[in-house]
Amino acid sequence: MIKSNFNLPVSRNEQDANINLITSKLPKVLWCYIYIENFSLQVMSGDGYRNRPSVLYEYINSESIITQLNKKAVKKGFFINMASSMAYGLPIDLYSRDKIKEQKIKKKIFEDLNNFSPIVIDESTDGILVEIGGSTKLFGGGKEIFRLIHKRLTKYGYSFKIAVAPTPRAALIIGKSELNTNVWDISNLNATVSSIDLNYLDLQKKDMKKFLDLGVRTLGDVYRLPRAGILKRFSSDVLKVIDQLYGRVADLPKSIVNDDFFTKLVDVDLAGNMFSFENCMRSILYDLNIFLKKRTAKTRSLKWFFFSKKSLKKMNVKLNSEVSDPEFLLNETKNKIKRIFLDEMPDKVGLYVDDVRHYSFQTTDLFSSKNKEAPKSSDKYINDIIQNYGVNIVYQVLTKPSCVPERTFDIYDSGCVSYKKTLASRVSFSTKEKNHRPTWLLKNPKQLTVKNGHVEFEGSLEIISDRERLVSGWWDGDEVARDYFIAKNRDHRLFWIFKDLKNDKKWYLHGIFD
Amino acid sequence: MFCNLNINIPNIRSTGLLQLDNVLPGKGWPCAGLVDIVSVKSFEGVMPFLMPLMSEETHLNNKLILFDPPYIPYHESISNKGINSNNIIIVKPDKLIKNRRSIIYDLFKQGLNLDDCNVVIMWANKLPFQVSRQFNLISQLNNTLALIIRTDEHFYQETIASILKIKIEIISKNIKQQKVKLEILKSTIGFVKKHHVILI
Repeated sequence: MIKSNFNLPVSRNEQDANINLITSKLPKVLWCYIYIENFSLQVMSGDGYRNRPSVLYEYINSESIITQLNKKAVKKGFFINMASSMAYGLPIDLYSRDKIKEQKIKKKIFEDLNNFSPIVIDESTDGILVEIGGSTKLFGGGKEIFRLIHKRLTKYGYSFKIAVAPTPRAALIIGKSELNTNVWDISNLNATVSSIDLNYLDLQKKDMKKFLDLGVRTLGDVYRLPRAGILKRFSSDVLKVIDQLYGRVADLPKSIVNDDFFTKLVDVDLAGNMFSFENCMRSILYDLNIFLKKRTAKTRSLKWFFFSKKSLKKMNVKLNSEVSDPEFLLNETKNKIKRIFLDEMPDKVGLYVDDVRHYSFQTTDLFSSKNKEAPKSSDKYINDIIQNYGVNIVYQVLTKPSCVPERTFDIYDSGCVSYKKTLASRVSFSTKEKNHRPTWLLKNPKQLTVKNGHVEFEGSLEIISDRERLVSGWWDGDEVARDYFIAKNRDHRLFWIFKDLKNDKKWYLHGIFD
Repeated sequence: MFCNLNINIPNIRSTGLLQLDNVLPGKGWPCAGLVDIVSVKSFEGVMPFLMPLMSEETHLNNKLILFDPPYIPYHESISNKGINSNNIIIVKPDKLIKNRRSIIYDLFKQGLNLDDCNVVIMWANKLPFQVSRQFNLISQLNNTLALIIRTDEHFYQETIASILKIKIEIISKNIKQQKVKLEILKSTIGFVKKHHVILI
């Protein structure tokens, strides 16, 4: 029976099953958002933040304005963007912002959080995102990690709130809102966040106004809106934010890390030595790589400073995409250096990077047994080959009823759909007894040369079998008449050869015994 | 000299040939891992050793995948030796295809992870060490026997990552039987005598 199983379509159910197999391997993702309200003010005011009205001011556009304030200050009538001069003489604590102090404290918090997860993201000045889903097994469950993080951060003495949710945006929204509930399962997400005010979605003013005009006030109202309707009235960015909230798209809220920068200055050991100069740059870039990794971030621009006795040269390296690989960054820097003229080899090399951007990634289970791909069936394997590489790659030997060896089989790839299934039994050209047949057959017999009366193939061939005559096809006009022999060469290799009796009386190689 | 003492010894299955079982470490083919078979000339003399294995697999209704065989298996011959040709899949990309070797390696890797295939065979003159290492690891991970049949006059220098390496050289041959010099060049699954002469 002729059988070809190469073109079996993959059923929808099978595809769905495969998708389930893949998704079921993914670990449960849980995001923890640590919201330290008015972090800059708390850093400066310490314990006074809870007890006394406090405000923080900054110089923005050569004006000193209030940028952060606590609830007690709000009660006293202060507000954001108010000129700080208005506070002088009033019973209120007034602090100037100290970014260096903030950075030092945040660095310590980051180190503490890295004990729980390698994925710690500096989401904003007041917020830090930590992916804890991959570490739940290590710490005995999500609730236990939550408790440990809370305990660890309490020592800093700040007012803070921790929220847990299956998506980073949901954790962020819960953390900033008045809600004091954690969401451990995505199926409870909508029910939990539905009462939260729409303002926490952090949409643009025009989009907010449109939603309010539609009577949409809460996240629950947004959830009930038809997707097509949202796309019709709003930009795709709005839908993306909503999808990110409910985990329909696996993405982090895109954010450029504010007020975080990398800087390093290194002395070139051997002045005038190009190799030493390159090594300095490499060492700085490796430090940058560590800095970026800790923030799960990449950069798009480098600002180099080359100090020499005579001059200071600045060089900016702009990149097309976010990168953190130090060797790639070094190559880009070297390419740029070639284009600028350095009067003399620098004594010192400095790098300043303030364009720090988070990147999205797929979290993986720290304790997954084996990251093993699900096995597939051979039918799917063949279908995949045909889809990816086309036909004429994969074949199956199919038997056909014929007396002529090269016609008794055919190599069919799945692209050949016109092949007719035949129920005829296999016919070999000698049915009386089992004859010796070669393991391998040449699809097209190869013509052999004859020298001094001896047939030659890889040396002179010696015929070691009786003649086996094949005469066939005379009834359909495609007559074949051959005498088959088994021949041997000096290397003990055995070949199946024949002499064509009908046409050119020449010798051919048709098979090889293995 | 590197010696990995922490290796997992795979299960062994009979080759179907008593003479071969007696000389192989563990008395048969390993069920998982990469086995390197080097033929001194033109892939010659290897197939008779694999016929019982192929017969068993195809009659158990498992697929057997042949990657880049030198010619087409003649169904009349292999059927006489008990092989069900319906269960044989041949992967042989056209010689003119760009990145032909890479395609074969990629498909071979995928072939090692099929739920209805326990044995895959590839014919290759040369195989990069790094690729062979991947094959070996994948085949062990997926409990699949990967057989690489090579012919290389400089095979002593060309080493690949395998759990077993055999050299086969035909001493004499006629239609009914062949006399073969078999040498165990490498084995991580047990120690055996190195040189053997087998008549099958």
